[in-house]
Amino acid sequence: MKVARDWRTWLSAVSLYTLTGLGVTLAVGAGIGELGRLAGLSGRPVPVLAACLAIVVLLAARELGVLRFRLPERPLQTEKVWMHQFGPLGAATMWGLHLSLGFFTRVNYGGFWMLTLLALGLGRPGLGALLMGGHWVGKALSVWVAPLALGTSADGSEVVGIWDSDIRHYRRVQALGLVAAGAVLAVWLTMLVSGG
Amino acid sequence: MDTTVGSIGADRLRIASYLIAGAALVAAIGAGRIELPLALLPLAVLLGWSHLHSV
Repeated sequence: MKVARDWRTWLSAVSLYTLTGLGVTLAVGAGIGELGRLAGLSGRPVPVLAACLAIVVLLAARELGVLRFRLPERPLQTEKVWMHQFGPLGAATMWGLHLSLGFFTRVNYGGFWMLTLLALGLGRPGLGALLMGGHWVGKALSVWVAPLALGTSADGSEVVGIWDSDIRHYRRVQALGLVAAGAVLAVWLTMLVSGG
Repeated sequence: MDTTVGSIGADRLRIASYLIAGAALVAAIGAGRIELPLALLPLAVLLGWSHLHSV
């Protein structure tokens, strides 16, 4: 959160931010899964998993600096002015709604697109909701952890500053998540191909 | 940002990051044993955690 006046306001604001974002991401994930189902992708898990596995390899290589390419994104940040317009609770709700949509702000790392493609390709609304909702919970976790890392301060700009100064670490963690997801996809694919 | 505070904050966030990564991997193994696609859920959380964004 950009500003926290006291811990009760902070707790309310961060809870609103997390829950509104979770609601949006669950709906978006389910919607993407439903789109995939309507497109007839749900009946073809083998080519979908194979394609996603190939994409995971490319994205992990990007995070490790082996490959360089830009990800599709809208290079926008959320509106800081909402704090003055709507107050801490209103702004937190608005930021949760805006940032959780994902497609309308910066996408620095590839995991978001991998999960989006997986939700679409598998064509399972329930799994799509879980994947996109899980990604949001991880994003919101940074806001919950901020006061622990910064002592008394919960200023989001400081967190982003720290994040920026240690970007290689977070790229490696993103690569780790992608490689682990790739391992799950590989096992899943092997089971399907071998009829297990 | 104060350099010392920033450095301490970075160290603490790194420790939190290692803990979250470890927990996500353990949870993925556990969830995968119940139903394989569920293993992707804790990994989605890990991918979200390390997703640099404007807070």
